[in-house]
Amino acid sequence: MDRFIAELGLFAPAAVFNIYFALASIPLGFVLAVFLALGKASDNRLINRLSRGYIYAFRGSPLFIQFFMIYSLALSFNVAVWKPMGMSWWVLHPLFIGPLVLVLNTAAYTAEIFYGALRAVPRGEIEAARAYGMNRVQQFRQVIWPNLIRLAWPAYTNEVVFLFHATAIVYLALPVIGQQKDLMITAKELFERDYNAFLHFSVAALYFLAVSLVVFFLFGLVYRRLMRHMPAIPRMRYAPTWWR
Amino acid sequence: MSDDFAFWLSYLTNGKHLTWYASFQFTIFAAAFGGTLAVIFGLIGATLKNSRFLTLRVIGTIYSSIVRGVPDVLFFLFFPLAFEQGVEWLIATQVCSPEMIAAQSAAWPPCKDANWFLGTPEYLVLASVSLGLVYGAFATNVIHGALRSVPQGQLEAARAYGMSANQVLWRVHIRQMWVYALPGLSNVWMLIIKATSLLSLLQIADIVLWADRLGAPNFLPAVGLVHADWRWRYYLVLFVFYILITWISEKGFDAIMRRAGRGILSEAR
Repeated sequence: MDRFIAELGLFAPAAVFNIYFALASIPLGFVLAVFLALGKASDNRLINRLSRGYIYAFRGSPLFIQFFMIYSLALSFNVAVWKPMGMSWWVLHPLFIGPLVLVLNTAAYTAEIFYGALRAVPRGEIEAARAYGMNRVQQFRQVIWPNLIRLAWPAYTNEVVFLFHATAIVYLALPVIGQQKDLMITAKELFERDYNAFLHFSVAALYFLAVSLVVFFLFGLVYRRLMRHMPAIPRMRYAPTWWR
Repeated sequence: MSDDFAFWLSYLTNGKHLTWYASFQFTIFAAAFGGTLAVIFGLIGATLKNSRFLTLRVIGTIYSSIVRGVPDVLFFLFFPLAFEQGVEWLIATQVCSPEMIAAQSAAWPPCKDANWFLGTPEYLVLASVSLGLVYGAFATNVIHGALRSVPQGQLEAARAYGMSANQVLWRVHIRQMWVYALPGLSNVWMLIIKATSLLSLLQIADIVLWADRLGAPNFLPAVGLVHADWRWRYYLVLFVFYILITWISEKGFDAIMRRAGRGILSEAR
């Protein structure tokens, strides 16, 4: 039991890295996803094709490969671009590349969720807004967006939890610098020292579970706020569903 | 021009590249075997979740929620390591004498004779099983939901024909369940395909590991730098490969869903 508590303390600084990766990529991914979803619904053929292709490519390929690809791409520009400009110390840093790839990845998944929600916005409400003489920006801000975010929120919650789970991959694909180790690397290193898989991996799993529950709780609060006009708030599922 | 072509042709078919192409078999095997196991574990898990007995229901629920609440990489790495240790511990209880355990200086295995060496095939099977376990939890949820989506009237009609409970389950319930489960199962299959990129974490020389080796800057003392860092090109190939596989699977599942949905009202799909 003492070992277990000591282990929890050992993993606490590692969890900070996972939380950092998630926190750094969620806001940017959210904004990018809104634009991608609008792009996918756009009538402009070029924008439509581009955002469709982007979403398909990043949802259809493994995050692990995306990490390797973007990191090696950044590496290949190192001698020609980053080094002369004196930027290589941060451009090639896992704390920058990690969130970058996670943003690109989560934006695609979130955009698909938002696109689905966008199509589910009741047509009658948009027609009513048009009948009121609202222009397109007003329509979006007053009618489409409030509907969209309410429809998409439960699925977006799942996506955020999945994003947090995906942070486990970051340091398996990128180099570990000094003591900057996340939960997975810490678990692996401790395992290689004393071969106690059950202890180390379950403590790491416990951290992932705990943060996931916190995410569900916080996003549930936001959902209640979003749905405050409803007499009975639709229940949110407190478990990631099978779809992603 | 033709010289160039001949050069690239021979470069892309040299021994190392051929090994790379051959290593696609590991990925395909893991996806196929892992996918099959995921469906089997999903069926078992859904049966447990639907069980009349509370303990079985609790086991099914815990399985599907705990495994999904943990990152797939974590479980994917944990299961083969834990299984290997479990087997080594079992061997150790049989072959190790106290002197041998005392003589062992490393933390694991308990004694030298208890060491179980795992090669690529063994790791591949273990990796597939852990893929099956992880995504079986997702499939459990899908199949559980699908079993509940089958219209009650169909089951009642089957019972009214005098079918026994087993007959209703196997001839009507599970047969009709697939239509509702297929969209979800296709999602799980996509997840499995993407998870096969993690095989290299278990020391399997798969496509990712070979892409890294082939693309790494190649320096020979006799000729100097053969090529610079080409890794991104190889990873780009894998990126496109996975997108293509996803596209093909999507088409395949569309065809299967159309076939499975014959004779069932279209809103059921």
